[in-house]
Amino acid sequence: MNTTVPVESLDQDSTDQAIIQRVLAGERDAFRLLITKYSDPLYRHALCMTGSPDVAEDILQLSFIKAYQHLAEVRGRFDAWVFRIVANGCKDWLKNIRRSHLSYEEDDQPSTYATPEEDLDRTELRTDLERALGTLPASLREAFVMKHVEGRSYEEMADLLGTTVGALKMRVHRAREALQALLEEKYA
Amino acid sequence: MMFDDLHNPDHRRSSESERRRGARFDDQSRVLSDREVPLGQRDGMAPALHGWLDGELPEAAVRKGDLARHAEMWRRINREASQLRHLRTPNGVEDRIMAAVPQTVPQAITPWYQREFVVTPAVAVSAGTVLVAVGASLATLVVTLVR
Repeated sequence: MNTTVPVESLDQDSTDQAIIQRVLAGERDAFRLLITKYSDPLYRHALCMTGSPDVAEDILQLSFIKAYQHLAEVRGRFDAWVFRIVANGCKDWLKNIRRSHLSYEEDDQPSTYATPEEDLDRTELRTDLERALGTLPASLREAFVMKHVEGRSYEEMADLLGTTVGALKMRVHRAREALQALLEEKYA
Repeated sequence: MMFDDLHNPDHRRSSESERRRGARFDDQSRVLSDREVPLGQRDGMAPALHGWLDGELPEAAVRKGDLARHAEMWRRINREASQLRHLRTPNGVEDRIMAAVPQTVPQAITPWYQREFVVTPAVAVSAGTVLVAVGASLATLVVTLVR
């Protein structure tokens, strides 16, 4: 695994650390800078994991509140730390919704994906893909979303999730195989 | 006389594909729990396809036969997936989060065993006194029990 940290990442990290210090010194509004910087990728992750814009917003809000409350405990990269909070929030939500026997597709699979324009753009394949993703175990769905939707490298994923590149490759491969089995009849 | 050709690959393939299709619909109808491994992958995916999707193999590696069909499907899936990459947080969410964030400055919550402990002369004398008293009590108790 490549262990060299890119220069931009170091810059970004020092900027984040500077913002954190400002917040800890009492400048509460500086926290908005971190929200603005990271909300889009985190929202996308939550949306793709849960399939519901409302749930994704709730998870994002709760995660940032949690991040604020524990800001003094951040060691290392803020973006990786807050990503893990959101990712765990999504997995907990999936676990709870399955445990409570609610149908993911009926209850929370949205007919809209955020905006009306998005609705117009929505293709049949996207609907089927989201439905197929909904049948995957959370860990496989997470790996697939990070790789194919968020376009991250295996190294980046391993860094964010604290696991190995090999394990993540395995998860992505299993997710692809399951999705192909579900979609090939109609699309291949 | 006619015999069923049990080794006819076409015949075998069609019954097998029907079985697979049936299994696939069964799989589709239920949501897997987190620890389960999806079973709809009996026929698996060609390693070349994974290699191409992971950027390890060139497109030429998936241009033949069945691979080409599946590669086209994955091309479409990737196109859809990359469109989701442009989704943005809805307006107003940022303000809502800021309104919900506590007004107090975040404080580090350190567990008691990790907290710094300052030993002043008064604390040292008190701790010493307590230790001597406890030691004396224990010694008295032991002597009493032995007698």
